[in-house]
Amino acid sequence: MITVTNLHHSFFVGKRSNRQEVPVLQDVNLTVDKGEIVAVIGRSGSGKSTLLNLLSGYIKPTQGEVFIDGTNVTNFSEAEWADFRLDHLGFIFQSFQLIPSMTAFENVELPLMMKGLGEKERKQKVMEMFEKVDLHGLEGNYPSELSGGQQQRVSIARALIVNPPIIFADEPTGSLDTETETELLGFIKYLNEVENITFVIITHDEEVASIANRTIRLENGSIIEKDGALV
Amino acid sequence: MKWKDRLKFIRQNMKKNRSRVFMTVLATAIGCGFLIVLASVGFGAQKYISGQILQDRTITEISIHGKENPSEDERPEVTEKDIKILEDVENVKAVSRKQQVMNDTIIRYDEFMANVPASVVDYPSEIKSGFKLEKGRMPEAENEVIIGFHVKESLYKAPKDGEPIDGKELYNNKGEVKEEYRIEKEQSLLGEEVQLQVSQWIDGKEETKLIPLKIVGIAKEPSRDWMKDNNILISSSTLSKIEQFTGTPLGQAISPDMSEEQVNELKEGGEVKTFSEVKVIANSVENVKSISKTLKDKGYFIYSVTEELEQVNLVFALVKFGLVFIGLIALLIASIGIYNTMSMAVIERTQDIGIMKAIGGHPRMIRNIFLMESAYIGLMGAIVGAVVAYLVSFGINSALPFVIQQAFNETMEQKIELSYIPAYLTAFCVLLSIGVAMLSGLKPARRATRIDVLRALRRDI
Repeated sequence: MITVTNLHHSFFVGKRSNRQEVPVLQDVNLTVDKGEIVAVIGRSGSGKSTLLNLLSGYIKPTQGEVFIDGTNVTNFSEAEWADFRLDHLGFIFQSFQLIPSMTAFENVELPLMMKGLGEKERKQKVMEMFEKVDLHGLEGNYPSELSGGQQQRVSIARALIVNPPIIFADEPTGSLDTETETELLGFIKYLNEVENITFVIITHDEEVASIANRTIRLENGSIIEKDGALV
Repeated sequence: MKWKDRLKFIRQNMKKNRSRVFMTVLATAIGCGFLIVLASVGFGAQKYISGQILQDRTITEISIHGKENPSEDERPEVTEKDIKILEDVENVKAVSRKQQVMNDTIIRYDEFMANVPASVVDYPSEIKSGFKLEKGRMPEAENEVIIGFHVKESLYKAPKDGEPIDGKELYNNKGEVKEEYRIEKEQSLLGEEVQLQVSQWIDGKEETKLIPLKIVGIAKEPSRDWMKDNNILISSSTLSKIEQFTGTPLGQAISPDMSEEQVNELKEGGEVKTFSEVKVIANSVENVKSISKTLKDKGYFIYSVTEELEQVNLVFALVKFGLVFIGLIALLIASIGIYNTMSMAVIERTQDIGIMKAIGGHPRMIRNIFLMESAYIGLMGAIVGAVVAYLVSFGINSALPFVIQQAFNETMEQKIELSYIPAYLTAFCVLLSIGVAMLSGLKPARRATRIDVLRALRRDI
């Protein structure tokens, strides 16, 4: 489903005459199979978020290749990435990233609107999704009127609404209390098992990583452990 | 994203800062309205001047005023030979020609009389040129004539003693024949026998001749209220009778103080038939220019109203350009407001744009949303501006007679539209406002597409 080969990423600091390369990821190789939950764990600054950003196309790798769903996305333009994200990827963020001026319904409806679906079809799909994430009755609420757990459910609903085969989750429980965290992890497990959605979860929390089929540990930009075995 | 959804999206965004959007729309409305009103004054003045030029003439008409360099055997006036040449020019519909009787012609009917200019015309050409009758038919017999629409009004009761009546006694202050001298309103001259009186000095004595004629047609009333048609159109055979009596071409009157030499010269001038008024009628306005050129090349002195109009239009094109340029400045100032509004909107919505891009928002879609928002502001401003411009224009035109009355103590006989807004001016200004608004929004829209997703999500911008 996802294949990463020889991936490098560096930041450059300083002026052009005195530019210095700061490597963030070095020689990362990994594969994620369809229907897996893979947790990428590591301490702060280990490069796990950078890895997810590279997989999402938010930044470009300095070296290496990324294949998602059989497509080489390494040299995608911004426009190509936009279309690819909309069709293949769902995103769950630590801080939910809901548009505050839109209601929960409108936030979930947004990807469908961007895909050009008709109003009637959109309404039907969004209402079904609200049932699915157990938020029925909260469609008209603005994000500020929802709890953290509810906001994360809206965020999941928005990620699921276009039926993506892969969901990237960046510290999905980072802003939630323990009870809500357990509930959310159960829901992710359910989606993986019942709907066969592939998850790549970035976390520093071992408990979150426990729901994964496989774990990849990063340190100083390199993979140091795969599936419990040191690399 | 569908257009309908984009529009919904835009409306939602605009509602977030209503007062700022309102002020921007207001600025655009003022700019657009100012532009329309300024240009409308140029259009109004052009329409008025063009109307004045065209009021008694036809736009397809070219007047011929003789020849530039006639050869030795030719006359400078337009002759029968020239008429043939003129008729053969491509795209010429008709050649209207008139031979004016050069005599003090008087029409007499019962006890009434009137001074009427008499002319000979070529009826087939006149019909082709657009000549129309109010009543009756075209002449068929030699003694049949057509009279002008106002001939009846100019008839007055002739004094029995033959002494001329003083003008003050005969006409009222409007220049019309007084009621007591006038012919009865119900009386129709159609089908009536009249007499055309011509006079000439023969052997030191003034002689008069009465030629009996029959009125068979009355010409259509002139299109302009102030124009009076007192002419009588006679046949060429009647003209021959007049010439036979006067002994001069076109019945030219001999003055008693003329020398014998002058009289002989006058009498000899009639060997070749010449026309006093010749008009070439083009089959369409587009062909006037090419016909005019051909006629000039053939050596004729011509005048066409289109030539005059072209010069007037050129002057007004410059005037309008100047006015539109001034108006554009107002619109450009408004565009700065739009640029500012859109830039602020992009800054305020950075996070929203970042989220949209993060979940699959296409850069083109984001750019289009902002461009459409600018265009929407431009459109609303233009609509408000156009409505205000129409109201201001109406106000200017309504207040003009009052202002002229107050400032110059003069009354306007004719309604003048100082401000005239043609539909295409409104359309042009509305499109221009939308265009300027979109141009103003272009840079902020581009900036929106370049927003870095990660920085936006981190609220780092």
